[in-house]
Amino acid sequence: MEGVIRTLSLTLILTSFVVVEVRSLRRALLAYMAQALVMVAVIACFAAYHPALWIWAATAFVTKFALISWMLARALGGDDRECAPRVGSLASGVIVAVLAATVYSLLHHSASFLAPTPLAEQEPFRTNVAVSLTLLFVGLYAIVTRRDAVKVVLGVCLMENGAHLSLVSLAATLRETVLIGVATDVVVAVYLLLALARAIERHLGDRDTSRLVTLRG
Amino acid sequence: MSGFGWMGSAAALPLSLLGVPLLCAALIGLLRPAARAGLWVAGSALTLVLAAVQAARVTWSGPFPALGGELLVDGLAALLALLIAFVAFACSLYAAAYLPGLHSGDPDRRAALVRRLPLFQALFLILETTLLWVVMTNNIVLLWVALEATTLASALLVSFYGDARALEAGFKYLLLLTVGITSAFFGCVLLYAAAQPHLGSESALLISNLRTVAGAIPPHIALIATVLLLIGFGTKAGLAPFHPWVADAHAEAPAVMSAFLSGIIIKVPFVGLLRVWSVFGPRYPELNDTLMALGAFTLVAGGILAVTQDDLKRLFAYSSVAQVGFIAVALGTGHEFGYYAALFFLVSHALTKALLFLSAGAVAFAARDRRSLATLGGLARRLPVTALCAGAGLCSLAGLPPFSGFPAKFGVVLAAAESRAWVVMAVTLAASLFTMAYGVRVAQQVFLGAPRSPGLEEAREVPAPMWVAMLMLAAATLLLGLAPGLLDPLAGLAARMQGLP
Repeated sequence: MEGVIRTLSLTLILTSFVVVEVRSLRRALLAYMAQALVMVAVIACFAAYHPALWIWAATAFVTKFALISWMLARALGGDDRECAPRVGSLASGVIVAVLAATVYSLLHHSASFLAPTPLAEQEPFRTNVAVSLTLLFVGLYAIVTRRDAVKVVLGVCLMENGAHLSLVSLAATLRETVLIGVATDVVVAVYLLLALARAIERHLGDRDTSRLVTLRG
Repeated sequence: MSGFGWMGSAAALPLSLLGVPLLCAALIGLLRPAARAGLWVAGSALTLVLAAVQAARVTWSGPFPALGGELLVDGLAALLALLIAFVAFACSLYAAAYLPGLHSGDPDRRAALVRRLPLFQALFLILETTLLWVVMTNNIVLLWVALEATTLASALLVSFYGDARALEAGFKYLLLLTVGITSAFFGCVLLYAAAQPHLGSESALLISNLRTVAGAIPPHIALIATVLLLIGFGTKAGLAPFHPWVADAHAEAPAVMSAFLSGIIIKVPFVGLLRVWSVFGPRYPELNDTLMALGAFTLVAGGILAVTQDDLKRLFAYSSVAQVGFIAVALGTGHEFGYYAALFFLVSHALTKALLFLSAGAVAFAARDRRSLATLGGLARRLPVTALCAGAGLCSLAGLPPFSGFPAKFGVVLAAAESRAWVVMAVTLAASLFTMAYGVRVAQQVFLGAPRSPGLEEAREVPAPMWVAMLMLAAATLLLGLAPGLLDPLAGLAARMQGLP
């Protein structure tokens, strides 16, 4: 089981790389959907340790794979090409790869740094926590460097995937009402971000967030 | 307890408080347009009455849990629920005349505004529910859920005008706060995970139980979790350097929303900090030092930014950034009096800044949307009640007696002195001078002197519901300034229960 979890967890990092780096928004969305399914599979594997996680797996399937993907697909409309990002493709690919490798290896080798219990330092939990934070940082990188509003929202989704994946190791026994509350917040946040992005597109003619410079903090 | 009748049931009060605004939000869409504002005001008034009854119950009978400990109505929760309900009621009253009167010279914008009005009213009531949930929840993960829910409920209120600037402000507001508060999510989950082996999976969720196992939580986890909470909640509270969203959101939102943002929304994250800090602050003095340094930095950064603004709402927004620095400084002192001073300042500033944003809205309402200080002037004669209320707000903001700002600032300075944090105390005094400087500038350039734009001579006092709302807030700041002991039963109870030195 540990080997399967490890392989699936590393697949999550690969899919996040594709979500950020591919310039076709439809392919980025497909990569996100693949990541959501892999995440559901990872949570289902961890359910062998904590049966309560089956509910979290089902919640993740409904919210991340079904609802959020559907909302993102609607937001894309007919325009598949991402606005040019702030960092060129080659440089960005290298940065994401180095960022992901650094965060993952640092946290995997120093698991005790973030492990609240001795169990969280053991496999497969240490891999899970390291992957969670890697997704979070890759998502943050996408939010900072991408100009296309849909890509920025995809970055938020990656961050949230990372945060929620960590629950498998850190809070597997959370009861379902709390989990549903956490998942609902994210679905509503993505819905509102996309609604505002669409309204901005109607005003400005495109989804380029670098044009949102009227207000400067 | 029997005197409260059915209200005496412990769970009934907080559940009614959460339910009334939510029910009104659900009913708004079913009513005729003319009746919607009435329902909003009536729902807010009923919520205020319930919050007052709840505060009375806590004062006389002490704190009580509800829903098996999921909700905890202690001094802090009862006081802040009353504050939220009071400011929300004032805002609903003000909005009854303010929102329908906007854009009277532009039929297209007015038609769009009237179409969106029910959404604004319903979202505002939902926002009130989420805020009340934040202050009363005792569940560490649901605290995060509720705080994020306040952001979600308020995002469309910030972008209500629907123009490019408002949409930009709304998008940035939602994005920055959602990203920022993710760090708080990790903080909440880490604390739960660390407490769970000692308390069990259900009890570990309850914040009130954290204190009992604080010593068993590994120090590095306690420190990391608390710092993550500080970043997440600090972003929402507008602490520098996490403040870039504050001015844009305040400036582009309708005045009612700006008042609620500054008065309440940037204050509720402090509930999380107040609850967690009192558990770990005494054990780890470095946390107190960090919070105090962040507060002092926020005071200076916000003060400098406020002094350089020409837009009235942006000036008040940066002023709010500076003022939350006072709360952080007081809480960072780590002792019981500092906790009390933080809570008193929080209440005082909530009333003061809600009043000032409503005054700024009244000025723009009467002066054809003008907000630039350079284009205003001489409005005291034409808007006497607004000028009187704004004057009270500016005096309170500057920390002048007899308004609540005086005991509030004095308390923070005393708390810093008691901790022998002389540098921080000097910073708070210097920041007060900044506040006085931009307060005098606003009074001079908006209300005194000669009008600096054509058409200001025709400005007329705003409709009665607007000035009544402002008078209510002004009276509250005056009352709290004259009798600061009024907060003792709840704020004192909250401070004493923390077990601080």
